Amino acid sequence: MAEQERSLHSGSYKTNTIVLVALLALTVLTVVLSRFDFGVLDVLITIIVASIKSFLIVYYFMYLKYERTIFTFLVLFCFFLLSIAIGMTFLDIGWRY
Amino acid sequence: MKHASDREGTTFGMWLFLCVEILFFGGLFLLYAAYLRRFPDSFHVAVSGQSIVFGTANTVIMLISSWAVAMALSGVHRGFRLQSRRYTFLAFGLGIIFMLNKVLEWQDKISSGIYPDSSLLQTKPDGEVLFYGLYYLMTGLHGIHVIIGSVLLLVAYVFLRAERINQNNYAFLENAGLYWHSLTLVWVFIFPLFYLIA
Repeated sequence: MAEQERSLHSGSYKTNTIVLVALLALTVLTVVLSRFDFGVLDVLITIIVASIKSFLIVYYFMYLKYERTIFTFLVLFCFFLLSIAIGMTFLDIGWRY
Repeated sequence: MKHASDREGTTFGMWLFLCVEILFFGGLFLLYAAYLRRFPDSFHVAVSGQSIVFGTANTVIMLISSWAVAMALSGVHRGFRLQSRRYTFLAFGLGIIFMLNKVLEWQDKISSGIYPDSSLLQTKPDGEVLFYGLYYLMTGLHGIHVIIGSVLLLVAYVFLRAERINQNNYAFLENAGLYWHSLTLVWVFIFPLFYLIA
């Protein structure tokens, strides 16, 4: 099945459905976790769960799993650029306020 | 061989476009993060007033619609034309339901007097004004993208019916799908930041 998925550049019906169930479960987890107070870790926990969900979407639904490595580098480069912007901004506001 | 290289070219082009979209929304998330750091208490109060029901419903709708698009493409790749058409239409329908839900949510907010430059909002602290400004800006921009994505899915459905999209020619559906998934990706971050972090 994995070989067929790779050659067709998309997941099987079963793989897609397993990913959907995982995404819905993670959504329930985010909502449940938001009912508890973790203090400063609240935002961090939320971002971690959202990042896991976004990985599942990019890797399976956007077929990065089935594409050549260059596509992975392109996506990583994009997030690298974003991390520079975020890092530089927080270096600035971290000192300013 | 020619077909394979064409497919990679169009997909790579679409990914480049999506990277620009991610950086575009990324800038807005950066703005959110900077203001959250500056006004944590006001953001806390503002998020507490948000409807988790609307937010969660729209998250579930976006996730199921993304699944439907993935199923539609898997179907096309494997020659299941009828199933592919049905999944594409399901994804389009869910896009419309998402927007209807968004309209109801905005209507609820506006009728409570919470909208940019409203007299009620002007009495609130700066942090809350900024939160709701970002809320309308980001969900609004996302909504415009969802409308465009829904139109693309409807066109894909029409092409599937006309068999212009088939097992050998599916670039349009593939790229419309990539676009749609990128909107789900953005929503996955909008949801916790605007509805849950309280």
